Amino acid sequence: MSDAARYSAPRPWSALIMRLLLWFVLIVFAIWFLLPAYVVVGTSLKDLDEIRGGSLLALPHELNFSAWRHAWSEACIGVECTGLKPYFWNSVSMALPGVVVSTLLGALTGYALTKWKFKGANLVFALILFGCFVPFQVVILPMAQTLGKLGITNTVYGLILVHSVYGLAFTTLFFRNYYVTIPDELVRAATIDGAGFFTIFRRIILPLSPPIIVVSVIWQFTQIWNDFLFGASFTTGGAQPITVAMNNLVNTTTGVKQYNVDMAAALITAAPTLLVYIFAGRYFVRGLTAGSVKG
Amino acid sequence: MLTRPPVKFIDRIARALPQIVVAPGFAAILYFVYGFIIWTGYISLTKSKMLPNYTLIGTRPYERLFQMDRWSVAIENLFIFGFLFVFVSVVVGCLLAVLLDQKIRAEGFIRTIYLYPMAISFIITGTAWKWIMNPSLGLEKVIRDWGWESFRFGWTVDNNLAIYALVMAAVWQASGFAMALFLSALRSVDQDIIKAASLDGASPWRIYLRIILPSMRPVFMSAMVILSHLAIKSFDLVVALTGGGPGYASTLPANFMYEMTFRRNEIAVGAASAMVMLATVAAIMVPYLYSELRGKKHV
Amino acid sequence: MASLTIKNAVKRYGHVEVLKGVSIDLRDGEFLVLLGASGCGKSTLLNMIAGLEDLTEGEIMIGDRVVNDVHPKDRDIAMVFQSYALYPTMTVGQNIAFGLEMRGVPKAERALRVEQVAKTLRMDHLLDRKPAQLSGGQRQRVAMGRALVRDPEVFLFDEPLSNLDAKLRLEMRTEIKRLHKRLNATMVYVTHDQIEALTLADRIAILKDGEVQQLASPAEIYEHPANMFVAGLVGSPPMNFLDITVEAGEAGPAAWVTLRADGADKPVLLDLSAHTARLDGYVGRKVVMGLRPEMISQGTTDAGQCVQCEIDVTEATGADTLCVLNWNNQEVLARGTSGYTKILEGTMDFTIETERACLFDPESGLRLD
Repeated sequence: MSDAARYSAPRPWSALIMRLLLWFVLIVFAIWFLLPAYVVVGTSLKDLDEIRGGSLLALPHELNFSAWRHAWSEACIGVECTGLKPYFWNSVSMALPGVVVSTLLGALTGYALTKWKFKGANLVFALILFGCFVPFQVVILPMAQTLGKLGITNTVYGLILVHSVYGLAFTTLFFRNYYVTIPDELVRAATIDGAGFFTIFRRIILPLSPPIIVVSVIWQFTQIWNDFLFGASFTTGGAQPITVAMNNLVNTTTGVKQYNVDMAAALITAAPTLLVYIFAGRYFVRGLTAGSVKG
Repeated sequence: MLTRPPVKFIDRIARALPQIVVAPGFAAILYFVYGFIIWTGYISLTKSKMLPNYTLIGTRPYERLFQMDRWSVAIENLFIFGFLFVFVSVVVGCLLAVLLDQKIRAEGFIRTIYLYPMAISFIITGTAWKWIMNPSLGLEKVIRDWGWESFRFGWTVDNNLAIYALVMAAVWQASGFAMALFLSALRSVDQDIIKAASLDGASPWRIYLRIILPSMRPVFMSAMVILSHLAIKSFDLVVALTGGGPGYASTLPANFMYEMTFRRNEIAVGAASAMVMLATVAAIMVPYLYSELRGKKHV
Repeated sequence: MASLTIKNAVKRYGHVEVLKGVSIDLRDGEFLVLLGASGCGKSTLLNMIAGLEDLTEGEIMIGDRVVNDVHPKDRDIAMVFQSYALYPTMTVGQNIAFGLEMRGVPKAERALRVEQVAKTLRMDHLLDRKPAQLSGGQRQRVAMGRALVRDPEVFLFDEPLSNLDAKLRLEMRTEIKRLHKRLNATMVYVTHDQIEALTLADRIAILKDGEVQQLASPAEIYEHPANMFVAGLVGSPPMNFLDITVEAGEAGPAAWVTLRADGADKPVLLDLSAHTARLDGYVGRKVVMGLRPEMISQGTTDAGQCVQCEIDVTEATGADTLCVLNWNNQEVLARGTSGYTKILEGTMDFTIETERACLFDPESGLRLD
């Protein structure tokens, strides 16, 4: 706790007013942050008549999950009326390998760059680091061509490749920053003890890595799941990830606008990353700030 | 008897292992990032239309790009959007961080509420706010039903306001992230300085304004750089919230690039716009990364 | 056990020369201390012996084997690190056994040897703990155990005691000394603490700017420092240096020294006739006279020349009381009495043992011999 308040508290009479004001501001912001979530969930549980007749902010009369069912397995996306279900699984089968590959490669690269500094290691790291910040627009065109040449355009494999490569810059950054806090003497001691590059990684470094593995996994999963640009650029029809499919569903202009289904679709699309955030978010923050290992 | 054993073959391999391990990832980055940048740069100087064409025509695509009204609108929008988004997110994030730093009960819970937008896709954010800003059924109707007849919240369909709708949604998404950055920085300020200042008789506000916030300058820097970079890359939010409309009133460079490349068969112009975006990002990021890496060299 | 030979070891990083040709010969079972301030190259030298850093030039031999290109694991050495470098996720037992495991020692034998070492270092009860659950002294013991269990040809220590508090440091110092006596192993020990060096070493190599200043036994280094740097580094409290001009006295060389603060009163002529041979050719020239505090002791004895000095400050350390004298605006440390027995103040008698004084050439800093 850093707060200055502890060391020089305001006098009691003003403290109460300040405290009330403080809570007022905090709550107003909380409402602002929660409003979209409330509206989305509320709307998804209403039927269309209730939406048209009632207030946006009113609670639904009853818990009606039919819009959810519809969005999941019946709604039309383009000409296919399959709901989001197949696209959901597209995203799953794209995200899981993407996360594993980029995390593993990032861990090894970060380890080699920090604990086995070779000539030019810093330059290599700087070049990789800039990869985090390249606007993807600049790689889309050549990537489309490359995927075409490899014959994996419009497939999950193409997206796995794209996400693994561009995620690598971030995962390397995470692992590198974490591994610089591990004392080099550990590696030296293990070298003298007779352990080699991979043994040291497996026996000494990896057991110290769970906090940063959590960070890398959460980050990569969120990035890949939430990606829209790559999905929209490199896939069409049945191969699309869920974000693209959901956007198409919402913007399908034929027929009556089914706001409740749109909102249910948004909720389904957001659910995996939200769940990850709610259950593992604090490990993310903790891992990012996790520092040196005492030993 | 002097014996000088030769370097064992296995030791030679072992010595090269770090490089061998780094090689595939580094090669991938070299090819997929730097190779592709060169490729796009080359295409931006050709007469490519629907398909890449490798005949060079010099800077003509750039000249065309800067003559297009859609591009000037996109650039102007980027300035408005970028400036407001970064500024408001930093202010809100900083305010929330300072408020949360007052030993609030349930701080963890409130922090979770402020931060959850970071976990979801801009596509979802756009979809949700588009619904809230729906002119006939959204928040506008609610407020009007409460009696404020002239209230207008249908920003997304208004030529002049659509860009502010984007700012609003983007701030909603990212200010929690800024808050988290600031909060962790507040917590790492040297406690002895604060003790010393309060013993010197400084009031809490004075301590914040004169001691804590100035010492957080690097974090302000990081936050602004990261947020600007987000702003330049913004694409999906526009797609989901305004579709770049009405017309192309709220289009951003990223959307312009996509439109030119995939919809209008103007690949060279699309590539040119991508290169301009890259130059903008590089102008912000390279000095920042350079100073960051230099400063941490001894670590 | 093995001898260790370092031949003209040079280390350069780019244009910076960290070691400028160091040669040291160690016989089997010798305890060598590398002493110097940080940045003098002592840790680089140790890392080169360990194989953690390459030599730019020169050779290192363990036994009769040149090990320049030999991997650390094949050099048959063990090292104790300043931060101990215990593997945080392993128990103490696993930490100690790791090196054996890497060498393919069967599990049963590993357990046996770990147990033996743990007994030797009196930490059998700690084997199942993690390093984070140990105190500083216990961690130090584990680090030692990890080196001991391997039974290597050469032990390397990189400032192993500098993270301990004063009392533990003393204990562990004795422990290391005892260990060396029992194992009779070749040991190289890096430190910046001259007391550690004096108490532990068979021989001390004093390094400065990548060069060996003196390589000799502790007694030799203390009594006959090769130059002013060595003289100033070794000994606590440090040696006093006085600029004097050599005069031709009646019985041999002598020098006028002012023993009062303001220099107002008459200087005293110090008799340097014991150094006649040494000062041959220096008459009329300036030299630096080094006097250790114990060479200026309170009271009148036959050991040297008796003078009267005014005491500026006294510092009682318990066992000894030190007097700070002011000689012509220069602080000079002298030894007072043992213990607290006597009040020391005002002007008192001191005996200067000019015979034991060290004389240095002011330009080269080398001791006149």
